[in-house]
Amino acid sequence: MGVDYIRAQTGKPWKKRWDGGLNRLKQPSLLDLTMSEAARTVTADLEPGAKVAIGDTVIVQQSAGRLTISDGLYAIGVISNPSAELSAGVARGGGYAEATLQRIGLFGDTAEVSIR
Amino acid sequence: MNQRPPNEPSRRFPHPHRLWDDPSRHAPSLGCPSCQEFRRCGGVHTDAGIVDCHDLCSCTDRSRCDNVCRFNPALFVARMREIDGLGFENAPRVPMRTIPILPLIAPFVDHRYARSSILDEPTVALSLYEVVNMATGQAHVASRQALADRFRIPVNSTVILSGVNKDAPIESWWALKNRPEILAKLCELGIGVVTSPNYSVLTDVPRTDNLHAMKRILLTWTEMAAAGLSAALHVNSRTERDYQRWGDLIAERPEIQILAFEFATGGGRGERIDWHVEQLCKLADRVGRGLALVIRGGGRKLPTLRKHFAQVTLIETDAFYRAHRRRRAYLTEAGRLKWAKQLTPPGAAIDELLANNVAVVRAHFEIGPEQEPRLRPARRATNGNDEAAQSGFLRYFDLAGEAGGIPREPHHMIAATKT
Repeated sequence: MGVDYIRAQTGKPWKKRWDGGLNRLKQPSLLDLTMSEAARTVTADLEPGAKVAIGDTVIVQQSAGRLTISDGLYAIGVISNPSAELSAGVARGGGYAEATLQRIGLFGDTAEVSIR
Repeated sequence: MNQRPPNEPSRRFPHPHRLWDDPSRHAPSLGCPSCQEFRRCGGVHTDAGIVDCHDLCSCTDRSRCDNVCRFNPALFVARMREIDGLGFENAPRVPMRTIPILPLIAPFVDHRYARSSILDEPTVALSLYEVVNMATGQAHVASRQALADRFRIPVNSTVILSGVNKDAPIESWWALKNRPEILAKLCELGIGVVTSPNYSVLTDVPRTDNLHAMKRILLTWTEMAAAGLSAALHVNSRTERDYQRWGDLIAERPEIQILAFEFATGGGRGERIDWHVEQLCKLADRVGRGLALVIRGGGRKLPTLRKHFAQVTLIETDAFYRAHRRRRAYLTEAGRLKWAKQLTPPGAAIDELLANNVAVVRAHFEIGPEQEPRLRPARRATNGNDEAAQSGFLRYFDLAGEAGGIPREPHHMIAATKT
């Protein structure tokens, strides 16, 4: 038993800090400031076989002129024609945004996502 | 056995070297090519049998985990906004600066305790976190004279500030609100070179955490260079792709003239140091212009690195710390560096001991040929895979356990012994 054991049992002894000590999770995002709720709710085409449920939190990511939706590492859908202001808002956030699945289409091939 | 905290990975990899990434020895993980970050990350190639880096994210309480991980979307997006995405391309450009000529060895001075006179060295290395008060965000000293007095170094010496430290202080640097003012003060103090903080690029975390750390290193370097300091960019990397990304960035930005690397911890461990040195040399060759390199640890690799970099400087810490542990350096007839115990009376200064250690260690590195570590006695007869006859069996038993029983969704699979 030694330092390795203690480290393994107690976890890492430091915590990742925020730039300038600012916790960004508590700040309003650029999307909150500039876009209405209606403009932030869009329809996405889901990949065949995507396993999703209403209320799932997903990542919206800029990719080659469109927005992809991913659950973890893999893409589960795409927002084909995002509005210019939505694309700009996501770009201002470093190319990523958080979204929630509000509704899922009858055939499971589309979903309505609300981007935060 | 105790339970690990819920915000820590529950899966354990008792053999860390199996997580070392090496595409020349291990196949790419199956799940990587379809990942959203594959283009930037390049995928993982390990001996640990992981499907993708999701296997390294196994905390049971994500709300308390601070890894930058795509399976914690709210935190992940907040971290992306913090650094403006994982790409290097949007980091601000800075003007080119002339870089000072640095010696091969720069002795590290941590403090002035147990010394009464000045260490007469033209170039010394200090810790960034000992010059700046990390609690208040103010420099400990107001003038160059005060800096010299604080560390008992010559007023006109060239000072290298090392950003290498444990994670807690370097995270504190990231949390400081007034970094521009601090850096302006360091400029005023006439600091020769400063190396950027080395945010950890760990092997047992999802790759997005590594990419976030690399972007933070670049952003802190940019701040230092923009303030007018000659800054060295830490090229912390976990995979070959990471080195390629650093190489592309450095080739594209001529203002990056000094690199830094730390071999004192994971990067200098066992045979991993050879892999890192090889990657650094390839990077220098690929960039194709004379780069300077400042290293902490890894002194035995100096001759190799000097063939590929225009100048290499080792921040040498042993001379200082061993002097404080009352050890005197000497060279054997074969040129090996040895340390002998030398007790001093209580309260006696160790100036002479430190000066001797610095001189002997410098002589060792300047005149000594590359000395490879002594090889262990050869093992017993090896099998066809060039592995030891017996120990290999045990290794295979715990592979499946480490990987969490390879199939991720073991539906329609029946575990059965072969008859």
